[in-house]
Amino acid sequence: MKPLQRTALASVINLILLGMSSAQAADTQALEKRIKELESRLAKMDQLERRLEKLDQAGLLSTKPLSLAAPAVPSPEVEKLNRKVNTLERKLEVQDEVNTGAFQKLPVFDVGENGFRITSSDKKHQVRIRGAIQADGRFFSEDGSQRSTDSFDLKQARIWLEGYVFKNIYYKLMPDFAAGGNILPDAYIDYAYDPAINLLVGKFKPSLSLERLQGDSDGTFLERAFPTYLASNRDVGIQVHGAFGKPGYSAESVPGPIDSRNFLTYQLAVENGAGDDGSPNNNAGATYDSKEFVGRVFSHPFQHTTPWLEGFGFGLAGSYGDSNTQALKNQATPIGRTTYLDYTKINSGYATPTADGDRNRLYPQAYWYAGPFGLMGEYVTSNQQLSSTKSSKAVSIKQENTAWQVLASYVLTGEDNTFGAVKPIQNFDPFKGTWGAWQLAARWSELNVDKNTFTVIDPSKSANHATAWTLGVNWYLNSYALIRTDYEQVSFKGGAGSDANHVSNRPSEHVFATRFQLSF
Amino acid sequence: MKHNFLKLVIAASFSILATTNSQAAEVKLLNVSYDPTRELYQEYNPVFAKYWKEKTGDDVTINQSHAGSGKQARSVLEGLEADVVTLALAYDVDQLYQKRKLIPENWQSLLPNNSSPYTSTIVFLVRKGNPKAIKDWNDIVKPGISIVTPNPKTSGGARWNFLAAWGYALKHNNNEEAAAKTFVTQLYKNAAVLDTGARGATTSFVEREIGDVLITWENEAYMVLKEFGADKFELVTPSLSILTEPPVAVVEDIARKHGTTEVATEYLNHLYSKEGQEIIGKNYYRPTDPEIAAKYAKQFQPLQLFKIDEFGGWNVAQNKFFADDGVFDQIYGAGK
Repeated sequence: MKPLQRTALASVINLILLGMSSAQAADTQALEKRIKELESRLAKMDQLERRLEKLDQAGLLSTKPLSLAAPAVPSPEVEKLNRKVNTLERKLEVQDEVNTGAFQKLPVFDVGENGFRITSSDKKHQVRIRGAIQADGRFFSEDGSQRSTDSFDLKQARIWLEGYVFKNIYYKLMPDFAAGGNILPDAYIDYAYDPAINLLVGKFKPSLSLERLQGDSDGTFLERAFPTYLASNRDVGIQVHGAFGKPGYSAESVPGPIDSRNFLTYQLAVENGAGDDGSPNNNAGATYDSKEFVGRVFSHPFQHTTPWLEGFGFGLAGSYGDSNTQALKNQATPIGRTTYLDYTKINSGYATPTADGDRNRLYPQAYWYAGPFGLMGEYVTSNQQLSSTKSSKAVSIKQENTAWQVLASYVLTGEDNTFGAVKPIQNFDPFKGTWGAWQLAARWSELNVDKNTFTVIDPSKSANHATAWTLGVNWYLNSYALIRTDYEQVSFKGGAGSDANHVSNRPSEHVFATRFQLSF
Repeated sequence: MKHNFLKLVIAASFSILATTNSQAAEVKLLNVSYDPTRELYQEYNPVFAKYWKEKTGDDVTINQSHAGSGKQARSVLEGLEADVVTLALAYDVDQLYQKRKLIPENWQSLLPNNSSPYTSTIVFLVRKGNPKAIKDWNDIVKPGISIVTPNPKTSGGARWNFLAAWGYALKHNNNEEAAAKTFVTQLYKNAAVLDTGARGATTSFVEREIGDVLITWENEAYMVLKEFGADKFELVTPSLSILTEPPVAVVEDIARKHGTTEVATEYLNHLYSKEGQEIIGKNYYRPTDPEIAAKYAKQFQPLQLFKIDEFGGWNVAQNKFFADDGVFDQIYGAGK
């Protein structure tokens, strides 16, 4: 810029000078004056040039168009409105902060497929409200001798609480209003310290019969098979239990006496000993000092392998106790629930026998669930010492009863068969053309009563062998509701006749039974 | 050859073992504090870490957590694993004993000055030029004055604010409680927004430009002048205010569990050292060490101070003023 200006000025002066020489009539004074004016203008231009350079260095010579209007100063009213808006915005932010904090502390109330439960915001505490109603109908055919009565029954009417406090102390409190005097089937606390070791205290299912350990609403038939009834239904005591994962996998913490999820599980318990099919009344204490020891191991050896084998599990359970003149419970048919082994019907001269002395049981057991198929089986051998009197003379009998069962089931509608309940893929809704889940099932079960038993009890009043086969159809309307329909035929050896010397077989029992069950 | 290799492996193993054993321990502390102490502990923590390293050879990392003092005390009670608490008022710290016995009953006597290594007071921050001519507490209860102060239900600083105003009102009304209540009711009627903590209130006043006056900790007011410019705000020291005594304590139950009792105790003890007190003074808290306090005295305006004892201590004040259905609930309900 500077050289260009200087060149231009020099050219102008030269031209003037040239013009002067060519005119040859210049006035020297006027020329000098003109030169001074030009020098003065040149100095001013230099000053201007320096100022421009400074502005340029300061970055003030922007190529952007200059803003012509000065920024507007907001009026006091606008300022006031701005402050009001700011205040309102801030109030909302503070309120949001307060609400967020408050919401974070609110418990979570969850109602849906998983039931009804309330969980504290920190997830340390939970209470789950559960319930079950089982309304049954039993109808006997070919029952000319009127041994059994057709009836509608309320099998279960339960509402219970279960959950945990401080994350790992689980509890279950389950009354059953359909039961007679014994309205509290389960009431326990389980301190789940670690999956490998938990402490269960209270009243719970003894870990013996596999089918007994299955949830009361989850079974395949209306009622369980013969082996179940050679163990206690419930007992009061203390159990240490735990689970181990397959090497390389961690075990899952499963509270309560039933664990069908882990690779290897164990249960070790000391209980009062409630006797075969017994369940102590709420206020009933032990009737003798010695206790029953119960142990069980169960494994899913193919867990985390091929899907078809993952649902295979097998185990062994056993118990040992020393009972003392404990009353014996009569044995009944699985579905019909009619008594076929009656300890009160005794031979002439004998007193009613009691369980008195050593008692031990052994339960090998297994199941296999693969896709829609399910198989379950267990065997039991139960030894117990019975005592009676004849003409005031003590009589002692060693009784060894055995029972077994195999059941198979198949889900027709594509759901997985499980040890738990079948969960329908689609709930029953005829207007949408969905029909829930359907399951077919068949079972064979037998029980053999030790012949020594009939030294005391009347063989013409009690059968020494029972064989039951059962067919069932289960219709799962949704996760909560289902309809079961079973047909069972039970044949007997012995149990009928005019007296002990003329024993014939008790007539077979034919029963059709159905159940509407709601369980959540 | 084979034997030599074996010897080498054994020797190397012992060397590694020896090195491992002589390695410095690395410990972590969590300091759960109230809102305005962020800058103080940001400066103090590395100084303490250096001191601890020189003293023991161990590395210590100190994490900070800040929110309203009451909220922080509740967090610790609900499971936040603080090794130390440095809260706004003794009542909040005492809850750790009262509710869960996380600290001993005599916690306040375990460190000098009732476990308060620094004090402060409550002052006003106004906009540059003090357009509403606010000079004392009676100016901020005038109609048309917009006040920013946090919520005493969640903020320890806010409770100090409340008591400072209440104390002023009592002193100027012949100790008449009814007059004090009217005075403070009017004050909260002028409150534009009740933030949950002191730092939130600062944000409202400084960044959101809400209100004519911010009632706040003296150190917080100085922090605003330093950070946001003395050309935008002015600090107004009232004629009378309350001496705030924020206490500190080792949460012994948690520190024992973490194995940090020794370092946590020293962390708090070192606040009383000359080095710690210097940092306290530089951050506009009032040091408790007389020598350091004298050095920093000139940065604080003179004012008359009264103590929490005049209300019968924190337990009495809390129950009377800030418990559910207490005086604050009554007047804020009326003031809203």
